[in-house]
Amino acid sequence: MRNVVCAFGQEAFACHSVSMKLIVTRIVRLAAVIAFLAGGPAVAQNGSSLDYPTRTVKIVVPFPAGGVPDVLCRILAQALAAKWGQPVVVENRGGGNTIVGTTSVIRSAPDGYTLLFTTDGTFILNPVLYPALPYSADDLVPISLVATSAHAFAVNKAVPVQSVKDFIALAKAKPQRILLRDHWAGQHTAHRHGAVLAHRGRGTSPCPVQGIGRDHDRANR
Amino acid sequence: MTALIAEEISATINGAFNILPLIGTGTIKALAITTTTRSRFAPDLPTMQEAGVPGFSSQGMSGLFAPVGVPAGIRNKIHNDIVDLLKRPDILQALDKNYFQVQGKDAEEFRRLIQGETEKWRRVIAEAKIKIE
Repeated sequence: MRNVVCAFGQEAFACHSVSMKLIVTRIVRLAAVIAFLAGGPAVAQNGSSLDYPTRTVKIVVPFPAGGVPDVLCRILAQALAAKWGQPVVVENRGGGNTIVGTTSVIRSAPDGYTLLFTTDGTFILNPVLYPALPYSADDLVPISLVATSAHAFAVNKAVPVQSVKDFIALAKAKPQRILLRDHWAGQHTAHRHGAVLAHRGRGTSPCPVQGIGRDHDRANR
Repeated sequence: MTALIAEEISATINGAFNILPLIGTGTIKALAITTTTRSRFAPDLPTMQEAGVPGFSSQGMSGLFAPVGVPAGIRNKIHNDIVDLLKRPDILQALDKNYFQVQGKDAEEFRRLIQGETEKWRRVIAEAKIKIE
């Protein structure tokens, strides 16, 4: 049998024995993995040596421009761009109760250059409500809860009530007259709020809930 | 809000962002705020609970996410940079102007909140037998 000296690099390919060649290839790969393990994480863990961002960061907002998350995201994006010295671009990809924009982000490279700025509908309600959601909450990693915002309950000026109690009494007496619309472009927030009103109304007639419209955005008013 | 002002719908539960600026304009009647405590932006507006709807609590959460796989080093840097920004008076003023309550909570706290809220809404939605249309 011929004596073959195998080493890393060019000589590895000079090995005549197929099995030997395979072993050498494996050793080369293993060495690469060891080198990565030794050096890689040390760099990644060290914030000071973290070279990010080095180019444009895109933040997808799965809502039309002008709504709550968009306004907040643009305030942040502008300040982050100044801090980082790199452009931070906000891309509005509305539609489908945020599913369109969210799906686009989870399908992008996990390199930190495509991020998602959104509200709880995306990561709480959609996973609970949609049986066949094209993403799972586990496809997203939270980075930061930036802010919260209250909702408010309002009636039109012709509704003859001055309080929520009056409103529930009216809804109970004339349920067919009450149309509750929610702020989001889809149904689910309307449904959850209507459900809570109905549920907490202790057996009073539920308010018929119709969640339509796109009143979320002041810009679209 | 257009539909409410035009009296096409009776009521809405909508972002404070949309409703609070209309208080006092005579276009709508704001009856309550949905958080468990009153809003500093509209201190005269009772909470839903004060207004007679026990247990009612809801608020919008706005946050930043990455697709799974983004290295922790990058995620932490972004969060820390955001927290720095949220201390700046000009940023706080801009958030105030839009009725936001600053949070700046990190991934772990955020994750816990999401879990708690998911459980809550899963229960409400199951009890009320809500289905998406």
